[in-house]
Amino acid sequence: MRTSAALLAALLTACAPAGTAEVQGAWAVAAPPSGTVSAVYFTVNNPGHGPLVLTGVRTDAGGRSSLMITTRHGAAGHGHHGDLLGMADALQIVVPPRSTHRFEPGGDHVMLTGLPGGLPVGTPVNVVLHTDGGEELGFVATARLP
Amino acid sequence: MTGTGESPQQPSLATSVLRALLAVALLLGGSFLYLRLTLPHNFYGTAVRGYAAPDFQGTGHRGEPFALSQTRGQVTAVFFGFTHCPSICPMTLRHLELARLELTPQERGELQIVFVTLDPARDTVEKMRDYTTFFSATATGVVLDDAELARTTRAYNVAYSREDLPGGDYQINHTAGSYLIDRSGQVRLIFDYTQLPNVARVAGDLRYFLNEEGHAGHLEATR
Repeated sequence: MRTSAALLAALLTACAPAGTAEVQGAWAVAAPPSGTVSAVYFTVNNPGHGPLVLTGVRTDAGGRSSLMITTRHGAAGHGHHGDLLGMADALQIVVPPRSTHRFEPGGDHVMLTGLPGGLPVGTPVNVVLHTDGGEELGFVATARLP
Repeated sequence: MTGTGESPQQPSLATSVLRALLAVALLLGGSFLYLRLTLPHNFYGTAVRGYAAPDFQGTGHRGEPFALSQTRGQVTAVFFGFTHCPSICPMTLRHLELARLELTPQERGELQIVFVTLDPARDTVEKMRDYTTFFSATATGVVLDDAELARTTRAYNVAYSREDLPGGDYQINHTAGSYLIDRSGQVRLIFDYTQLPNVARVAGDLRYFLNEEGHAGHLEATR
């Protein structure tokens, strides 16, 4: 009986609902009228006892939205100044229990591609993060200059 | 023949530790003093031994011919990126602009910000105009032809590579330093992109080179 209760507690902990998570400080990089790409930054706070596993994203900005990580590789050859910076699609981003994860310039971000007409300053972008448990975490990111 | 005298007394552990700490303190103090004497300003970016900024020639975002050598006599910040860059490049352009706005009107007029595209296949002159002026009121976007871009990036030790994305799109992976060139055309300092959000410190470095004494003489000497 005690074992079953412990197992149930562990399962509930592992499946901490995404609703307990919070997003703060969300903003999007404004883009000129001919611009087709942008990025959304924010901080996710996971106060739960289990990890928050982000598996995808959708927005109403038009085009495609994806969770991205920034990659850094030592530039080949000598004398290069800094790492070779790139981006890669993230299959998932894990926010550990009782911690925050910052999506910030030069780091993880939500990338918007195929914007139909740029992203004017002040434009609200509705963003929905998906979790592995099927929950959704919605927020608004307003476009501004960096 | 073996000695029969007493061996020298070994220093205690405390004495050894004290001597080691003293040596470290002397080393650190000497290094600090050397840097203070050789570097006249507490630079925020990475100061480098000055070297002639390689010239490059292309097309500015107004459609005009552009050569870096035109900026001689002014302080110039040069960086390399591309307009499909959602993160690093807008941030770099914008923060250099914000640092420029920290300067006096006269200083602002003597600073050039130059953004060179690493993606001339997609970044037309018109596209560079829209992108550059959106993030910076005074920066100049520059498009180089393929041969000039290859030569220039080699000369500046800029690394970049094309990475194909699903769906036929692609991105450019690249190093993200901003090169600060003094009035005489010497590369003197490099900002890493992570430093740029501290615009007050960036402006401090810009101001140093804008007001550097003896720059006119240096300029004459290098002509």
